[in-house]
Amino acid sequence: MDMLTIKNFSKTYKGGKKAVDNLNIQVEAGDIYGFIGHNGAGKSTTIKVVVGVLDFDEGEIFIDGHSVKSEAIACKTVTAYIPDNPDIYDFLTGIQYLNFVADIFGIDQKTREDRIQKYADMFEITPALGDLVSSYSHGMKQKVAIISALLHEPKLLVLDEPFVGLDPKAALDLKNVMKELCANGSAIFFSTHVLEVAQKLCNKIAIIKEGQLVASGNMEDLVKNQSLEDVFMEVVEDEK
Amino acid sequence: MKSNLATLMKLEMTKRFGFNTVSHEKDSKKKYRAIAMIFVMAFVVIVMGGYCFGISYGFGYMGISYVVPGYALTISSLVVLMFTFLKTNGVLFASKDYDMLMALPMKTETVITAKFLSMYLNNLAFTAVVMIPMAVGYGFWNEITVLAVISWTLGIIFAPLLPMTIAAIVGAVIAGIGSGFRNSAFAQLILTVLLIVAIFAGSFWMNDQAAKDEAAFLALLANLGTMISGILHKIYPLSAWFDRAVGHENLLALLGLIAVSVIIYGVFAFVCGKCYRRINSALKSHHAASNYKMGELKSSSLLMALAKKEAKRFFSSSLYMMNIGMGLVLALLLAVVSIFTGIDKIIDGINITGIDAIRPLVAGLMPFGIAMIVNMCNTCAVSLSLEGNNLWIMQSLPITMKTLLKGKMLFNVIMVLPVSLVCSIIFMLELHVNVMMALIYIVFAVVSVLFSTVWGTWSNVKFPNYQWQNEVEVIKQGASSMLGIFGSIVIYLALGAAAFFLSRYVAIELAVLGCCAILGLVGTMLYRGCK
Repeated sequence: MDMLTIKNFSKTYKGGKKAVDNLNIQVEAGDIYGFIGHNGAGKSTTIKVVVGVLDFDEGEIFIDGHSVKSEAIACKTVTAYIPDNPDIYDFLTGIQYLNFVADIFGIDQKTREDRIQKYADMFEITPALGDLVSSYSHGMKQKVAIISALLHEPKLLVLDEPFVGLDPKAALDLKNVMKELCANGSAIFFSTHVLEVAQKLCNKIAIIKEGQLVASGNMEDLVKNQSLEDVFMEVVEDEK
Repeated sequence: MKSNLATLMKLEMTKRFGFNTVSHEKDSKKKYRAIAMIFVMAFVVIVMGGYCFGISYGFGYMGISYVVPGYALTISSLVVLMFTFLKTNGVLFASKDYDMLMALPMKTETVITAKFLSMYLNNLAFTAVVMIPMAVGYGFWNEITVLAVISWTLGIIFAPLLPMTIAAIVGAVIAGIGSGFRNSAFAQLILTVLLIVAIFAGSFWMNDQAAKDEAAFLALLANLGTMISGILHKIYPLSAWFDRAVGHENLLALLGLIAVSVIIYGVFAFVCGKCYRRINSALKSHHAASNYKMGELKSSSLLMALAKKEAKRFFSSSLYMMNIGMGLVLALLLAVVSIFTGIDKIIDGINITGIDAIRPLVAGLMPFGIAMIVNMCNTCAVSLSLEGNNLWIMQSLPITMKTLLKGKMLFNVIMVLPVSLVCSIIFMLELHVNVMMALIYIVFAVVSVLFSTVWGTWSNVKFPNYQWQNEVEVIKQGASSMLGIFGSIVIYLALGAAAFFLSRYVAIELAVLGCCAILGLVGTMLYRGCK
């Protein structure tokens, strides 16, 4: 079952620069899909369009069968997004922010308490939840953003460079959570520059260069006996 | 040092005036908005300059042009004081780029000098807009000597230093003390309010002392110019020196003015330079108890959750509370004062020509006055822009733009409507209005709050600014803030004037109801336009 379908998607910024050109990607339930490319290749633009932060004119994007263009709320209800820079509300405490997100998703009291407890303990941030977010480090903000993304058990989890700023244990916990979510039928679409992580974690990848898809498919088929790093460099060099 | 300072100044100016938006922005909408802002600012400068010239010329016409130099210096100093106060925290201290700048291989003094110069140039612009037109007006009635020109020029250059220093010291002390509390914004607000109350109490005491000498007061009244000079010299003693420097070509007074400004500023800059890291560390430190234990969490409906979030945003920032919430405090104060003094005395206190002509209509026009003051509190005029870097949260959550705006509007209504109703009830009782008029008071209170809420929202939807570095840019200097808050004042003034005019032909009740209908109609149209 397709959880995310990107069809002939192009995005041109005002001023004429084409950030993404005719992109086609399919993410199915159970997939951990890695999205790889140089800085400025169009990864974050694609991710922001998928989660509804940016709009677009060309192509179609569907999440769980709903159009991002015409059924934005239905899409967002089943999606969660963690940006590369987790700027969450500085004026709230961690627990107030999580409770706020739970209110928006209409999660009942017992469920939200259980899930916050579970993930806050896992990421070892429970004692700090009563402090203002303004006092948090980058990694702590990232952890709160991750917990907020998991509260409604999303069918599609979209992450932009999720491992930046996380301590090694939190990074490992996040990988485990990602695997657990996929085992339960959700899908994950994330960008990363850490190719070793992508190779170990993902079952599918897409490589994007200057806005165009240069390779995509099952990890095993693409990598074969090589490392993902070698494949990435080959593909990128070939396209020059 | 010099080249580093030049580089930092270039950066500060680029940031402050948005040059890059005008020259490099590819989004034509943003670019045109920035250009439009330049025209709006130019218009404000022309209006303000014209007003200052008018006052100066008017004084000359009345034969008291000798008060102009002191008046110009006092007014420009008050403007600088007002604009710098509470702005130091975030611009001079605890700025967002502090970490980045302090890590660069340049002296701390260079960083401070760049911050000071940036603030100074900003304030110099304000001073020039006030003082140059006044100097021109002064020139129409007085001989233009070389020393007078030099005095005016040096006066303009040095005028911002002292008020800027005072505002910076007070702002930093308040922010510093406030940062020691868990809710630092609230602590800062209370300290600021206490300071303002102390200043007012002091000025009342001074007036009281002056009033006791009634004979002297009457003698002063006989000579308006001397009276104005006397008041100005009392408010701002340096204005006496400037009067002497320009009017009597007193070089010593001019040098004294410059010396006092430079010495006080210099001492502050020196001390500040020595303690810059310590002050910033204190301001940037946070309370973090880190002892939270999971307990029961209360859930809220979607709209209430959004409104609660807005409330927390509002009460987390002293700048936000002071600037946007002041209308409510002012309205409540007026209402409470009216209970003790009686409405007639308040009207007597409003020193506007022609107030007697509308005295019989006061009861009918009072709702416009209440609406004008109460609705100066308009969180919706800035709250969308204040999402800033956090905008992605709302964009990625499953809520529509309309729902987000409704949450913002709900908070504004919850905060403003009760005050509007309380003030309306107090004034309707004070003015002994009939039942029909009493109902109109209530209806107008509700409609005006709803209208202003929508008006503020519309202003912010049309003129958003998410790329701010400091919330001052949105709250004090933003186009939507100006349009939402001052536009609202102009609308109620215009409607009040229209009701006044209409009352010649129809009953005042009908005129007010007609205005109510207009507000409702326009409000509905604006609400539909909030997309």
